[in-house]
Amino acid sequence: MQKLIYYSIVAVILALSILVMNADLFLSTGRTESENVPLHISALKTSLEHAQWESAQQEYQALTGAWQIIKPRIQFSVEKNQMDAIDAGLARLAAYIRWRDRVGAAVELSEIEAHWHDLRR
Amino acid sequence: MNEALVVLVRSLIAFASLLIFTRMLGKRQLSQLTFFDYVLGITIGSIAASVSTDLSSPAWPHWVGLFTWVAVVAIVQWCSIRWKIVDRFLSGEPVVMIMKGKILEQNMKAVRYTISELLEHLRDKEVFDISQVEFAVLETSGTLSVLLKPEYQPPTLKDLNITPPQGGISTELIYSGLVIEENLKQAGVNHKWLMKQLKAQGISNPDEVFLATYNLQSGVLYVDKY
Repeated sequence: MQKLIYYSIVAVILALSILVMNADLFLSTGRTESENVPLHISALKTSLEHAQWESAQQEYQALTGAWQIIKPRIQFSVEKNQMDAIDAGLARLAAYIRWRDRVGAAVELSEIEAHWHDLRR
Repeated sequence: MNEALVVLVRSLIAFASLLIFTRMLGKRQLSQLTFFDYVLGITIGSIAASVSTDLSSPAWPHWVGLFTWVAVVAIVQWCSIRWKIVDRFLSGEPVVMIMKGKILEQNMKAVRYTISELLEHLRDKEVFDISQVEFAVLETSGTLSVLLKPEYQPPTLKDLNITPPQGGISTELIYSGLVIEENLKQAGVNHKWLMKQLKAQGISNPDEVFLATYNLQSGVLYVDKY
């Protein structure tokens, strides 16, 4: 009986550790629309394609909000550099949208998307 | 990213994993480790440190590396037990340096062992005169095992025809003021008996005792108070 308890504790500790280290696989997909980073990236792309700057600004706010919600959940299982790159990219994207630079904004958004996919590598 | 919190969580994961994995690999004294065991320990420790503090990469690949190293070592250990040839290949064999009082120079040359190292290790074993040595064997861990000539070996109680006192192992009954009930049962005594023995030594409560051990063979209860 004691051995069973001992092995169970060991198995639970290892399972929890593996779960935390791979948390990004299931915690990065948001439960609601407001937490869905890929959805807002896609919507922002569409707004930029049609040069709809008010809509782009709103989508940018939604994207930033979703990222801020997801970040604390996945921070234990992803690279710090990738997260910092997304933060920096969002800051530059804000400036491109502010000054209505379609090309710059599109490039920046593509880079953010690439870093997002790399997070889950 | 809250870096401190992430390092805290990753450190807990690394600590728990390392504790579990090293327990799986079994116990060996530091003095019994071969050079490979020593290098292995450093490697595994280094990987565990990466799991803990290397925020530039995810913890998972490092943990997989840690698990792989430990799993391979466990498999190699199993193979070493199963097939002697594997053990010989991995750990090597002990080499005789001195046989019947004669230094074996060829063996020393083969393992690149100098005479000054031999004399140093003999002194480590409190042998300052090499002429007293009958056999000296260099073990796979790098330690030197020495057998002195019979005339230089310390006498035993048997040589002196002295009957040794009763030995046996002591069992802890009280530690840090707490009575260990399981050990009481094992030693074949009970709480009432223990309290009687403590009262006889002027102790009214087990809380006053730092350590109490009982030797079943000799019947001696050793008590150390705070």
